[in-house]
Amino acid sequence: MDPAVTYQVILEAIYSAVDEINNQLPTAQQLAKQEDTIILGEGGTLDSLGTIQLLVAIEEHIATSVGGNIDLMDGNLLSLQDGSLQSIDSLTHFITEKLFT
Amino acid sequence: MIQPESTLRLISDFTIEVFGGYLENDPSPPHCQVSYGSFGQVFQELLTTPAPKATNQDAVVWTLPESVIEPFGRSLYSEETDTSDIIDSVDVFADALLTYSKGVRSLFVPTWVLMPATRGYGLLDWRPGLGLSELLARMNLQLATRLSEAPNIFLLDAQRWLQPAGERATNSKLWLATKVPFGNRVFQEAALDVKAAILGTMGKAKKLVVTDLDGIMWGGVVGETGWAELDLGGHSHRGEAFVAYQQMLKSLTRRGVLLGIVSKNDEVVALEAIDQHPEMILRRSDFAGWRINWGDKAQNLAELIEELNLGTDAVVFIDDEEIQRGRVREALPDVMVVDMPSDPSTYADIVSSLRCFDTPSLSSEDRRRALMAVTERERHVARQEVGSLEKWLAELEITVSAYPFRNVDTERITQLLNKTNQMNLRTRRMTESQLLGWLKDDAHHLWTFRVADRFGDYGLTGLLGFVIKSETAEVTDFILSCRAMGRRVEETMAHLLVDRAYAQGVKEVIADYQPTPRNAPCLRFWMDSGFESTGGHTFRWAKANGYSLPKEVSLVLETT
Repeated sequence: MDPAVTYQVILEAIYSAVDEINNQLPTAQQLAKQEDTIILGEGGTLDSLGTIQLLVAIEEHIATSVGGNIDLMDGNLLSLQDGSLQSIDSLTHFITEKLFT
Repeated sequence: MIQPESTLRLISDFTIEVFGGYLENDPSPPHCQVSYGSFGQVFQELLTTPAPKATNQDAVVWTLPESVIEPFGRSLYSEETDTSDIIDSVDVFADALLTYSKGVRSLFVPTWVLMPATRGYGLLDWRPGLGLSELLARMNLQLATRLSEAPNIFLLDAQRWLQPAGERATNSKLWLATKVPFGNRVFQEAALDVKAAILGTMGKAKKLVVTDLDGIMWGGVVGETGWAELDLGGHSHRGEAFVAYQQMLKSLTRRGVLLGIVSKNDEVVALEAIDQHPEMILRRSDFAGWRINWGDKAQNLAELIEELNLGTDAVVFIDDEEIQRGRVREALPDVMVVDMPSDPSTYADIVSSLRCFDTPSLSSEDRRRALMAVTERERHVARQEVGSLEKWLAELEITVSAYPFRNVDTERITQLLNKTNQMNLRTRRMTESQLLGWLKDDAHHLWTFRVADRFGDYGLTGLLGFVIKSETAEVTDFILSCRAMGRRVEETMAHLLVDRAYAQGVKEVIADYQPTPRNAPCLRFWMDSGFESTGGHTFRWAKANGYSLPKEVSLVLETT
């Protein structure tokens, strides 16, 4: 698959997860569906429960949309050492590389 | 700031904030403000929390069976346990819920479920004394039996919430990391059910379904093909789908929901189909009213709603044409409009799954409501034939039987208190427990009124409450169901009020009207009643010779 298309497919799956999580979040914590939206780290609006909820939802939407299994609850990812969870854009790139390279 | 219609306390042994988020974020009524009990402190919260002061305080107690019923937790890992020990533990939990329920308006308790991955004993799982499924069913049944001791506790079927979520009903990683046992869709469904339940306890369940005919009740256009060629029943799946839809509507009438028709058709042709087609489940006598003509559907619907003395927010509208649904949504925004697909196969399921009819009680009067509506239609026809209101009232031969409070009427009285809007002096809402507590004071008096005429029985439709303070009687409740309004029953109730108050040594009767958006008819009655208006919305009777009984009404005063 064309990498640009792959990125877009993953991005749409992440946005679906964001929509799902936003339904239960107070307005002030809801995430914008933008690539530069912060997921984890400084500037992020999610608490720990919200973060894990989002990551699990993303895993489920990825499994449904592209059929791939990915584990986003890895300790390195969550501790920000990797930086992949910082933003929607960085996470999309991370997932794309994991599943398609 | 919008005042919440429910301040909802969530008590759980798992992370329940996700559920709270759906309850608060969902835009549909009622508006809920959520608070949380401490994680895993279920019994502590149930047994030590003082009674809350808010009249709109509700609660949800959602637990996992293995957490609150310790021996069941061992059963999950195939340990042998004693069923009677488990049922005893259920009783302890039920006792705690019953205690807590005394301090809230309504308490909602989701049933216990087995996680989808729990296969238990496989083919033995329903074997009594062994299987987990059988054991959990016994636990839920015991809980249901015990909780029925309190009229304000409602067991909600949590299994229904798992089904739409499918594979995403649970996620082991989510549970292990956060102690959230269910997927988001489960909590979303639960929130919708709890909200519908709260609306039901507030008296806001829908009361009328208005349906179209062509394409909904039957396939085809009756005006073009005649009734004999309609697609209804027979051996076609579409014909059977329309029959199933009618059966579901019929089922609603047995729960006290009225049916109406709004259809663009020739009335004679359409009614002939309803009367004659052998596969029709619904007949003319099942409908409280109809508007079958070529006029605007929204206008027709508004007229039908007014004829039936209901508010637009009590109505569900079903039509297969998007343009008609859009028209009604635009013209009557409080009417609930159901989106129906073009394929009738799912019509019955769509109606069956509607939450808007959830009510906290179902009395024999409710079950007869559709029949009462039909007799009301006959009265209406007679009224038109007679012409003069006084002559019509006289010919009705109205009898009103007045009873002091009886325990057997508690459920119906509570229903009247919480569901009646138009003829309601103070719109005082009370649970059964609150009503019974109020009645313990000897100065508090409550009378009920059963109304009948030559067409039939209206049932228990009137309620009068008053408090005696020295030589004054203050009316706390003056309530009459809309189906009995305008037949001099209001005046009869006022007669009995003065008569019974004077019998207690009272010298004046005071009725203080509290306005709401819906009870203007009550103010109109009091303004025309002959009671003296003393300023604002207060009405007073102090004449020595009592309040006259209307000549069109026979009053029977029952002492027990």
